[in-house]
Amino acid sequence: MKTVKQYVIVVLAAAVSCLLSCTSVPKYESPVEPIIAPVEVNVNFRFIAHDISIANPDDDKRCYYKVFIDKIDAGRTTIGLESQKKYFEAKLSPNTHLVVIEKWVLDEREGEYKKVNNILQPKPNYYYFETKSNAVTEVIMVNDKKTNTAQYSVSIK
Amino acid sequence: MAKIQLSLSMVLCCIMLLSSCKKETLLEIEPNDTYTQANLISVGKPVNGFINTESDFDFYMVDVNEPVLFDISVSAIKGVNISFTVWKAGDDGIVPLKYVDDMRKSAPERLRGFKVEPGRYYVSVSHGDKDQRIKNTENAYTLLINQEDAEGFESEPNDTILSANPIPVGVPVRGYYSPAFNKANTNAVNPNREEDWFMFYVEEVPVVCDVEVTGVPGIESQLDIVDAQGTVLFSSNPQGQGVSQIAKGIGLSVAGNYYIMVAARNYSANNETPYSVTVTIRGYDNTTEIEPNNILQSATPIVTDTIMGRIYPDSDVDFYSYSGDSSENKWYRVEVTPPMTLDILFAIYNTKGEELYSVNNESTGQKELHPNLFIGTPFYVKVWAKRGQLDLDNYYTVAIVPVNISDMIDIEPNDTKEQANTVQGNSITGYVSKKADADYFILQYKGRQKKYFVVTAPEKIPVSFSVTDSLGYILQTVKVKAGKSATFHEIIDGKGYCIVKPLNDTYDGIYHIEIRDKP
Repeated sequence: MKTVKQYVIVVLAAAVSCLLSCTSVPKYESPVEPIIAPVEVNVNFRFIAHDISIANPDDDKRCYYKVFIDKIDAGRTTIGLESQKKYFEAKLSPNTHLVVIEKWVLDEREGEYKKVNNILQPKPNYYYFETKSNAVTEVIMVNDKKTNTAQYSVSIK
Repeated sequence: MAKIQLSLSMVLCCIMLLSSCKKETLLEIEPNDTYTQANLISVGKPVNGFINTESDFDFYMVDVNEPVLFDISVSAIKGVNISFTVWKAGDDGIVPLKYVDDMRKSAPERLRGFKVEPGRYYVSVSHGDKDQRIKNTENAYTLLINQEDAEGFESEPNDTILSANPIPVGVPVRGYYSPAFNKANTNAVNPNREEDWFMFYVEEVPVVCDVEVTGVPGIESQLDIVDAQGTVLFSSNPQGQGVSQIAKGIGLSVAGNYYIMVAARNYSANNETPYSVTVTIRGYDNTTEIEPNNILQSATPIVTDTIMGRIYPDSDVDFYSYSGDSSENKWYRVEVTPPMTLDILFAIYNTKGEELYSVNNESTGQKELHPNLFIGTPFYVKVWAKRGQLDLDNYYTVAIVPVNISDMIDIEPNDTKEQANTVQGNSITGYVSKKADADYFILQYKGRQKKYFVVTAPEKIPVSFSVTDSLGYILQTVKVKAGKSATFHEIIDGKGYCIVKPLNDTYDGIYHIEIRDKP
């Protein structure tokens, strides 16, 4: 009798977990312009970029990366030194997405940020990634400033 | 032969006649070293004398029966700096009235326009003070006293404020820039300057007075107006030789005596042409400036919508005070319209005497304005013209009008990041207030926010609109055509600045910026 009860409990638990998993099935969301949400709203995509191989502090400029998602201007990362991590977050529909980046560096003499020459832009300047509604996809781009070679890595958290 | 004799006798007669016509010149009779030994001379009759010793004094005396003007001259002696003094006989001796010495060797001395009353006067001739005293027993000087009608002339000595001549209002009084020096003037600023002082009385106040001193050839004149406390109400600037000096619109707010000082600059003299000084007085109707208003503390109050003023003399500065209805900060439009002759400038001052805003957009003859002055009252407007410009005949006009513009947050000066105006709501209304006017606004949000900016340029002014990072470095700039709108977005990392700049030289136009969370 005791084993029967245990069996029933296991079956019920399985049924409940099955039902729960059914509610988290991704819904289709039409592609929309990414919204940079206020800090308190959940995001499911994070892009982090920084540069390495910076020879001396004089070459470590203030910069940001302009972020295009699915070929739409989504905004820009935070601003920091090239060697520092700069962040961009957005809430995207669960799908495969394309991120294209554009590096902008501060011209202190002019007092404004200027787009870095195409030759000096990180290569490649794009990356495809998957997003889910219930997880944060984190894309990290590390750019070697000497060679302008970018390495991308992705993790889902 | 008889004919020749007749002709010769006729020529001889003519020569004798001419000789008899020549002025008789007397010779001094020494000793005449003191006034009690003075030689009596007559007006119009020259007398010769010698500087017999280094310390020689030659006294002469002349009796006056009616008020006249004396013209006293002493001819030059080669190598000698000659001088003379005019004295008047008093109860206890003689009193010096005027010391005449141009401090030059081999030069004559002259005093013209010296008014004398009935009585006995003395003239002493001696060596001047400046050079080493030397005698000259070979060359004589000639002392000559002439007289002329004293009607309408100054009465020397009037060399100080205490001896000022009373003059009637509206009636010209003449005087001479004579002599060149006044040794008795020990004023530290203008030592030895020969000054003529006049005085007029004002009973009903407030009034405005005008004073004119006519030009005299070779003389660059100086005109000062001083009140009874010694405060200088007006002091003329150099206008060049032979040019009139005019003080217009000098405000007199206290009943009493006022004083006029006339002098020649650079110790020059003119014994031939007199100057004429005229005072006129008129009532004050609040429509014109009251000179002197050259400093904030003496600003002319603006009690009507407009007030007029003149830029005269050169480098004239006029201050006006505006009190308004209440002391709360309000928006005002300030316009200064010059005559066609002037390139006018103006500035706004607060009660602390700090210059808040300076306006200089246009050139000669064109109006200057500040369309969006946000300030509490009272405040001050300073008006002046480009260096070297003046206009005695034509007025400029200052107009101050309160204005009401909703959502206006463009409080000048906000031309730098440090002066940026804080954006409180979701819109910015501002003015392109001047040529190349840059307006800075500061945006502050909680965290990182993406914002959409809808920028509408003024009707006639294309503008550039920039958004910066928290340090003020420009992230993005858009150009908006005149009268058109443009929308763009930018991320604000908690703090950032908006910068609006006109793209042409036009100004006096309103722009509007709407800040949205969504497109």
